Amino acid sequence: MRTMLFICSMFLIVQKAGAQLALLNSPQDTVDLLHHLVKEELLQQMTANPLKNKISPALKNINAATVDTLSDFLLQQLRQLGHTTLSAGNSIRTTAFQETKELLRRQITGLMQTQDIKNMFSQVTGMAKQPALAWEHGSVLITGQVAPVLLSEKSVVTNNTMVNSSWKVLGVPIILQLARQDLWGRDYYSRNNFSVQFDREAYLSSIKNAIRLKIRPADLLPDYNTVLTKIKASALSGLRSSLDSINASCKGMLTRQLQQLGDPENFFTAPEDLLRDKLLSPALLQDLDNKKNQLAQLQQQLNEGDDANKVLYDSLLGSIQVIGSVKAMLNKIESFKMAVRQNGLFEKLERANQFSEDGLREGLNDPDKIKALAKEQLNISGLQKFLLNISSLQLGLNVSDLSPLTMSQFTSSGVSASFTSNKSYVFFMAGKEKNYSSLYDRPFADNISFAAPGAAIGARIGRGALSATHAHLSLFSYKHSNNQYEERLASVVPGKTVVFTLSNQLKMNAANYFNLEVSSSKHSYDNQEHNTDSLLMGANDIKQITGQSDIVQRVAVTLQWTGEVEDKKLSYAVHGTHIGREYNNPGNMFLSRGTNELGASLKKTFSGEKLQLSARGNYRSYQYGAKSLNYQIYLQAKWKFNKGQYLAVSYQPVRSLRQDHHTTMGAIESNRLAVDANWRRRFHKNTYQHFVSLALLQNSYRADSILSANHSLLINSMQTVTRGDKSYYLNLQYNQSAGLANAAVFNTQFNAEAGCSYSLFKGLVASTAINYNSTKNWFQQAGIKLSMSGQFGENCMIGFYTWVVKNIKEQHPVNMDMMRLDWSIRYLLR
Amino acid sequence: MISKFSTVRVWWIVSVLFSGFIPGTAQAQLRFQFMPALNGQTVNGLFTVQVQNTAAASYSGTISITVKDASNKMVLRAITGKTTLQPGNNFLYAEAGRSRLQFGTAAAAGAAAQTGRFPEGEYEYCFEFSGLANKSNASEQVFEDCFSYAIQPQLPLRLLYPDDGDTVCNNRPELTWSTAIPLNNELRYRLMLTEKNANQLDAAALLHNLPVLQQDNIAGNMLFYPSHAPALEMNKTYVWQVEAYIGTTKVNQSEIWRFTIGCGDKKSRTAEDSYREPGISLNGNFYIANSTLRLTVNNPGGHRSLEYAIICLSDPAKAIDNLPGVKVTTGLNKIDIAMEDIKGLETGKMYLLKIENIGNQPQYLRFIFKDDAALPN
Repeated sequence: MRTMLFICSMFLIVQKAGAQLALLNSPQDTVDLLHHLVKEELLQQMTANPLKNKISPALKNINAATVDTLSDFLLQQLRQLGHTTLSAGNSIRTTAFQETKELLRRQITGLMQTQDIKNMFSQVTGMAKQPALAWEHGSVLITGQVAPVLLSEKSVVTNNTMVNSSWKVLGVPIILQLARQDLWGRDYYSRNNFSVQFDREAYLSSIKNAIRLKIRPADLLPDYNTVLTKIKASALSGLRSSLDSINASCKGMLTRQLQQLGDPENFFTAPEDLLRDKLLSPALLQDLDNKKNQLAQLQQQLNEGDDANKVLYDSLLGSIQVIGSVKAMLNKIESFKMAVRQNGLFEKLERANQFSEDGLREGLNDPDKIKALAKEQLNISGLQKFLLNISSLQLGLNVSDLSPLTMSQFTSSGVSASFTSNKSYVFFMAGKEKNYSSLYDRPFADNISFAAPGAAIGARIGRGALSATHAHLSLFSYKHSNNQYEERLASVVPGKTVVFTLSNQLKMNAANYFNLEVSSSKHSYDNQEHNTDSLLMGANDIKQITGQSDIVQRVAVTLQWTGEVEDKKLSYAVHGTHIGREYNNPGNMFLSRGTNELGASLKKTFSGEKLQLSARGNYRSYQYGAKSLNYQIYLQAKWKFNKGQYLAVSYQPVRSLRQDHHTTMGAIESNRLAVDANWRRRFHKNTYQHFVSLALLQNSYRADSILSANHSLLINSMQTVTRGDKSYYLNLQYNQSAGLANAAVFNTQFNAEAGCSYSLFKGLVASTAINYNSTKNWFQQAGIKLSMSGQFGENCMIGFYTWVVKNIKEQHPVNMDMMRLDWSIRYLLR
Repeated sequence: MISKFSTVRVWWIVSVLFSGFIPGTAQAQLRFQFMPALNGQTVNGLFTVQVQNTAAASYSGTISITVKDASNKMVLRAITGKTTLQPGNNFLYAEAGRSRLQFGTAAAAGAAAQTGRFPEGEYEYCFEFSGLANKSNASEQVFEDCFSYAIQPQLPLRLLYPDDGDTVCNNRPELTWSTAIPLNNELRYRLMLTEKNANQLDAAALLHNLPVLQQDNIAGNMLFYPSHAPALEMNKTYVWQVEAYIGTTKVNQSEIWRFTIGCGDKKSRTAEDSYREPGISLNGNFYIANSTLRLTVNNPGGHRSLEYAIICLSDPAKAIDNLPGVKVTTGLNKIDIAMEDIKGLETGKMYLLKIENIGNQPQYLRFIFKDDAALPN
């Protein structure tokens, strides 16, 4: 560790020295510079640490071997600078630093002492300075709306207030969140949700910053970027001089070819064939052969004493010489590139670039790398190491989303946490189940929830992180009791459900993985008893005791395979699901018992990713009694052009039916055929974009012998012209509907909107639009829309939208409010 | 048996749908009111039964709820604790927690015991009170009402368009789902659509965020995007869900799906990019510019616009003109140049931006242009 710290300091010196080495003419100058820099660094360290004189005697026992090794290492690095020199102007003798080793050793020892003191000082003061509770930042977000409700004269008023605040508790970043929802509709409802969560992102970010400060790429890695760049520039300059010299010898006839070569950088990166093809095309070479033949003939004529066209002769000779000179230039470039490869300059440049700040920044986006680097490079405490292993930690209202047969989109109020350490994974949660969707559902349904709220507790443990290859075991228990909740009357028969799941994922990379889950559930009611009345129950008491059910029917299995063949631009996925008729998993309310499902998807791109074909399909059967089938397919072909332009054709057939002994009891057929196109052009300073969508929808329903159907044709055109910070748009929508004329939202509609968005003043954008909409046999309306959004100062952002409409013609009363208003205000607390 | 049962079933279905409840015994002083179409599908639902006491006195006793299948086999029996039924309407919600449950050997018993739901089939629900009126000289009395119903479980409600995870250009898309089976004329749909924030799970978005669109009373399986709602915003992700209900009882709900509004442009990475500072000399560094080239220029004063050129390093002779104008003010300027506005740029090629008029000598910035819009979504 100490060695690493010290290497950082010394490389800083080396880097500073390196920047100037190439400019120095003698080895002694270089040594003097190095000495100066080392002294300067020491001086800075001394100034920064007034405690040095008091503590340093205790730190004098420096490991001599470490210093020796380091000295050798530094010298070796410095000597390498000499080896990379290509041109005579940067000569540094490889033996230049031998005599300075002893001096370096002394300086290193001094620096190590200083560094140790600095570390100790910062550790002690850092711990003492750590406050128990520190405010970091926060925000208040208020969003709300007054929205009309279909067939209701009274609008619904909703408001969301969310207060977020970030704190550090003993250095641990946490987020406190209070979400309040208010709803004024037929009745008034409100709800407060409070949650606390460990801010993993902030914690990783602080670790990242610490690593960035600690590990400067220039310190840790032999970054000769500046030196190498100068060497490269010098070498290129030499090459350019050579090429210019060749050109000069041809009296400037190669100027055009030199221009064609372009930036000298190309000499490094462009393939040799490319340069050769560019300057010596096959046609040119053919021409050269012809000219050579012509010249040979003229030469022959001259040799034989005949007259020859002297002008033609000179011209041919000149052309051949030019081509010869081009060849010479290319040979020069090739030999230059060979030299660059041989002396390793190219690789060193690449390496320097790889370990640049960008490289480190990119590397630090990987949490695993952050953890590894933090443990290796930072002197972190046990608690800090523990926090690094926390993937999530939440108190209060939270959503758990693990996998389909464990917990999926499961909302609870309590605690949940997950840890990943040394390839082990642990997740646990305990909380009160909350599985209704939203407060905003309340005015619309009495029985908000399918499953009664209860308590949930469970854990998932195993090898491998959730997102990586893993093998996990899960056990979750859900307890439902007959407590009334949320002022609602509900009947709940108390009981308990236990779900046990094995999850296995084999992940080759982000795009290729295999996933298998097997799960079993067992439910029992608290007051369940077996009945000894054989007249009612039959004589099979054992079956009652064992739960009357078939254990096979209490099992669910999911299987998923996702793959990608990158070089063939092909991605695909296959999945299968079996849910037993008696499988019951409150952790995923979207599982439907008695389901067998097979699905697949395929995506392939052609012609350099311009043409994309995709297909998805699902086949499901439900064993509820009568057989129910459902399948849906989605096919799409999409041609992509530049600047986001595309043309897409999609077809989506869906079929559902119920069969009882081969008799179809009900069937639904639905087809959607759509063509979408997005076109964009730039005219001078105007950008024009036009999105057009044409969709044909067919729906038919058959219940017993009654057939009903409705069809729709939807045309959508959205045109936008953007010029500077203004944009003008015209949106037209026409939905022709047949079959459900009695439904206000289903009848033929036309909607037109023309508007302009513009900048009011700095940071504030507004838009104004006029709107006309009509629903056949119901109403015609004209209205205006205004919106505004922007930022005031550094901390305040606002958004505002209003729609006010007036009935031009009303054939059928819809009894809706004629206004909608949305607002949002966000204030950042710093 | 089955045919007789079917006749009863049909009668009860019609009666239940149109009258809401059916008293079992015309002369009885205790009447049970139960809606099997809505509450007969779950074990919990059995306790939504209401008991109407038309007598002047209260009654004390136990209530037995028995569910049998079409072959008259018992599925379950629930026996409440001793309860008192006051004159008027009495609810049995609280009895759900105190009742003893016994499951029979009917085929449906296993599913009912394990899932709390009755599988598809024909059922008879019998509610029986056994007890005394709370008055002197009262004798044991039994009141019973039975209801029949054929359960047709709802198939899962499936969303259709926009597809889950899809990106659509239309910022006022029609939202389509599959009609719920079994069909029911009384069925209405309610749709909720909210924005999904970064790092937010779908369910959390529906739970916490204010809906952009919430529409109930939808009679069909599609919602044309209402004209009163603001258009959905580019590059934002939305989640949506549909619920089916009859009256005020929710009978089905779909999964939660998400989609993003986008027109083929990949979401700009501009916000993630930092501003680069051009230099007077070229080094080995370059950066990758996507939709926007971001740079800082320190203008000492005297210049109102930036004079600059972009040179293709692989083909310097190729003219790249019609560059967008860039205004600058005195001091540090953060400049965004939209790559889309520049004709002739080719993705993957390296370019050199040369600033002519700021500072004593030209400044350079080398970049590779990567057109995200050319990549598939």
